[in-house]
Amino acid sequence: MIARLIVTDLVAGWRTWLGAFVVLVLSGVVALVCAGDVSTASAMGDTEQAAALANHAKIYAGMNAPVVIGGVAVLVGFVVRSQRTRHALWQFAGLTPRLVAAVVLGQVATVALLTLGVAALVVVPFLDLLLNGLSGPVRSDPDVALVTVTLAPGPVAVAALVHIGTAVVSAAVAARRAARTPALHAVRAPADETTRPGVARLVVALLLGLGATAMYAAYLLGDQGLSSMFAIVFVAAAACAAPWLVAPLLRAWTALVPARSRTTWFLARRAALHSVSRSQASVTLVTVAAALGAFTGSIGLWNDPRMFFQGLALFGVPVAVVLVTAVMTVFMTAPERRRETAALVVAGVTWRSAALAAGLEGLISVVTAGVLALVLALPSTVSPFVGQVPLDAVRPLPWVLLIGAVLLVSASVAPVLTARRHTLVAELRVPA
Amino acid sequence: MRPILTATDVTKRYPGPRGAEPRTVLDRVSLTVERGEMVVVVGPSGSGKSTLLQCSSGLDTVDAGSVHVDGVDLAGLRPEAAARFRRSTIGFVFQSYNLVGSLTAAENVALALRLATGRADRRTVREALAAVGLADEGARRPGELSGGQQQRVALARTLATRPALVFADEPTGALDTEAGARVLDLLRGYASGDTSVVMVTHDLEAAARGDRVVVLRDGAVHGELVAPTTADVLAAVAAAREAGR
Repeated sequence: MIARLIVTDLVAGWRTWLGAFVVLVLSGVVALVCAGDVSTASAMGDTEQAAALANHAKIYAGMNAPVVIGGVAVLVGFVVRSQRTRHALWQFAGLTPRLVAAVVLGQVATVALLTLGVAALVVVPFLDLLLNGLSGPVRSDPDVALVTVTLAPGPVAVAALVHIGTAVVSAAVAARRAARTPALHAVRAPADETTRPGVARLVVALLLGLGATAMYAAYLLGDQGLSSMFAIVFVAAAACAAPWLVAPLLRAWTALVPARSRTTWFLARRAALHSVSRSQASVTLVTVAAALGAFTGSIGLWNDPRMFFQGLALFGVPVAVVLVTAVMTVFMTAPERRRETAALVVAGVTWRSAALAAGLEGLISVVTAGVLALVLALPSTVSPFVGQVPLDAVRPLPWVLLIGAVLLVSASVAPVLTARRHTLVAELRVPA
Repeated sequence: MRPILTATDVTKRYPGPRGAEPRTVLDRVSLTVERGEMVVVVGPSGSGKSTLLQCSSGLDTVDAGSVHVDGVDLAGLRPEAAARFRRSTIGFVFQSYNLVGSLTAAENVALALRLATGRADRRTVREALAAVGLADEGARRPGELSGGQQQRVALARTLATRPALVFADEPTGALDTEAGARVLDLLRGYASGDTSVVMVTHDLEAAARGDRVVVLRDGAVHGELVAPTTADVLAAVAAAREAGR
């Protein structure tokens, strides 16, 4: 019966799970790329090349794992929050809180399994592109034979376990929250999104901030080892501190725009401030994407055109995961946005103004992310080493922010355009 | 003077379950509302009351027939023009309030005022909220107000812009007796001079506050009462139910 609940609920709420599905497909690709590296390395006679492949797997997993875990945690958290009413109804039907958590985790595991299947379809051509296509321009010896990609059952099984395990562990906090939802409260206030960040998060943010500062100090003193990764630790600290950073920053800079400005700006600003949880998620994620871009600039990846594709291969997936997660956090609130739009139109706002306000709300998130990313990139502009150009770290920012702006504005405006195609009565009743 | 609302032979069908025939919810219903009049629509559940209100106000489309508000054919308006027309001529009060959740009570009123008149000074907003007994609640968001208070904010938002025609769909449906009576008083008081109210309700006592009561049954007009008592409305609805069996 529980298995049936897991499946039927997933099918009924497939739109809600779509965001998590997309990010988990990317996560599955990452896991299977590592499995492919290991499988291909074991099938090789050349030990030097095999060691290089094993190393590639480590770097690839190291770059992607934190981003994927963060992305899955954010999206599953969104899914759980948006299904508060449903979880309350389960409790009314007799499910214990522990069982509610188990069903949520079961759903996450099911989605993870499905996404692994989708990832398996694309991983071999993708890995071939990574190992043979993109490394071509920098291959030292052009006579070295191209690598034949293989996928062995052993590494694939390990990758599957890691992929599903990562998804389930990332969802554990959200599942626990689902189990703790007071049923009556969830039914009465289905849209209640306010969750206070815990003290533990603040402590972790502070520790990461202190660690990043210490690493930066060592870097300035000439250490070229792990200390040069200080920018990544600063990004992690900022992501942890987002609940204390994003809303005040957003409120502060948007207040600089004159109060007697257009109604659309007023609506966009109020919506961004009111729905802090959705603004915070998208702002944090675009900040992380932009800061990752800045990091690739700071290590000079874009200075040599031959390195461009290798940089893209290494950092493209994490940046894509973060940007896709940001868009999905907006996409998943589409029903809420459609209802809000209908309420605005009933109050006298024109469809054009509603679309403009939604677009401005997306832009507000991107500008806030841009300010944060710029602050995070600033330490990287000071380098004690000869040959590094100070502005390298800042150069990729406009590009990542531009992509983020196009994606977020599109995702914000799309629900308004969808709502416009239906009657207002239907839109006012759009279910969550 | 021409009527504020003329709905002529309005027909509305909803798609049936897969493979089934569409379900006719309104079948050639006509309704006229004069200026200064309060018309109440009653009828058994499923008789098409809310659909008639939604079609008459332009919130939903009609499959046949026509709806003119203040002489304007709603079907002929494009979405942008319809939104502008609504903001200047039509007001809504819903059972589920439909306030903008990101704005405070005062901002909800101010937004409607600003859109309808181009300006929304604090005094006008405060007066609008004071008129519904919520002068001190302007800084609170809809989520922080009770159902009765939210309904009164919705009413303040609607009445502040002085629309020629207010549509109210079960405005007291989610309220206690006292809050419901207050909302009804405000609506009743609004229907005078050039401004009119069309209200859908299950509450027969509330219906008796109307100048005219239209009784619907199975998507058609079953009867009409002028200046009725509660007993008259009760008898008319009972007759409609009986006829439907």
